[in-house]
Amino acid sequence: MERLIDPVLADLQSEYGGALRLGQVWRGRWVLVAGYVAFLKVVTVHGCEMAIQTMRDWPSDDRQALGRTIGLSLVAMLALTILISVWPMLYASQPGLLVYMLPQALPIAVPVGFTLGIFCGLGGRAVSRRLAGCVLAAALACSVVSFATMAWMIPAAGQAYVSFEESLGKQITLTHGPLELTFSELGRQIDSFTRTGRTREARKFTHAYHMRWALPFATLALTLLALCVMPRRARGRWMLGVGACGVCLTYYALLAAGEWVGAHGMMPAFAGAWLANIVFAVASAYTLFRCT
Amino acid sequence: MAGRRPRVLTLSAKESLVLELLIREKEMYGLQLVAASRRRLKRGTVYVTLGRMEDKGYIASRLEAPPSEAGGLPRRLYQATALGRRVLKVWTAAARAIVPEFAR
Repeated sequence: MERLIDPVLADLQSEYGGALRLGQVWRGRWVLVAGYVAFLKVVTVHGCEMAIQTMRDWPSDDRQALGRTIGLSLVAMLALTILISVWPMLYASQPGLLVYMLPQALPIAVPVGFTLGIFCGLGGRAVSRRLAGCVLAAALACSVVSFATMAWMIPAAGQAYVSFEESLGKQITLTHGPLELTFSELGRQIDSFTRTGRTREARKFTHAYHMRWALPFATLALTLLALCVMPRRARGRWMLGVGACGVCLTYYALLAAGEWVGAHGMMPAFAGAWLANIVFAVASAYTLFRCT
Repeated sequence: MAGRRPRVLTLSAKESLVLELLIREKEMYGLQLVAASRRRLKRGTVYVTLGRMEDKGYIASRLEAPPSEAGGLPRRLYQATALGRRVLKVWTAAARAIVPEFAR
């Protein structure tokens, strides 16, 4: 702190104070902006250096396992993103619309790809707490990215797609689905449906609202269970892949079940959206308890 | 000491620039180094470079007296150490010997 952060702040204060004393308001503002950017750079560079230094102290097995897991996860995520978004575009009239499809693939490609990476990268070996912690931190980062994608990128991509089609002179008759609406638009639509007595649509949109919060946690939930149930003894890679697919399919089956019971009013929409995450969290806690 | 390798003293281009400026001006703040380097040193990374050089023992720093206005942090002044001067001298001589055409 005192060798990195304090000098940045002290120099920034001094330069800013100097600019204001001379009456240079715009220079003072530039100094502030440049100072904040410098502060962020210092924190980022130092954080990365600390992370690399910490990892240098790890045993080489753990470093290789982490590298393998992240590499396999990225490859799996890329392959799934291409499969989900590119395949339908091969039959579309405008293949250039791929850019609008890509964000919709990410909330599925990221958790499934990460789970595959974990099973194939860490399966068949003992996982140290340090390694598990690092993988969970990466899963949390993926969850944050998924949330940003679902909350902002997908609605923006959907609206951009509609604008693009309209600019080509095509008449867009489809109404915005829940995926294309922002949070505030979803809230207004739910209120509108509730006031007009359209209960089925209100439940559907309420479920979509809660799913936008719950689905980003898929990466974290899948990672937690994967780390608990993954085989510790050597297995064939194909068995690990099957295991990963089994975990993912179970999760998405629970998601679909939660949507169905929520849509039919058997369960509150909130509970239906979070059903899969809750079941996986309980299963992970139970498995950990059994192991210890 | 058997089996321990001596630490290799390295000097990057940015570190040699910092040492040259500090040897010329005796003591400088971080932002003064950025200004004197004609932007070859960047605001964000100069502090990381200075911290690394201090760890290596090439430079030392001291805190200036805190400013009179309330809430101001004291600024840190940097100066080259004897080790830093020797390392710069040796690396500059080595660079001239290896590639005399490009030595500054």
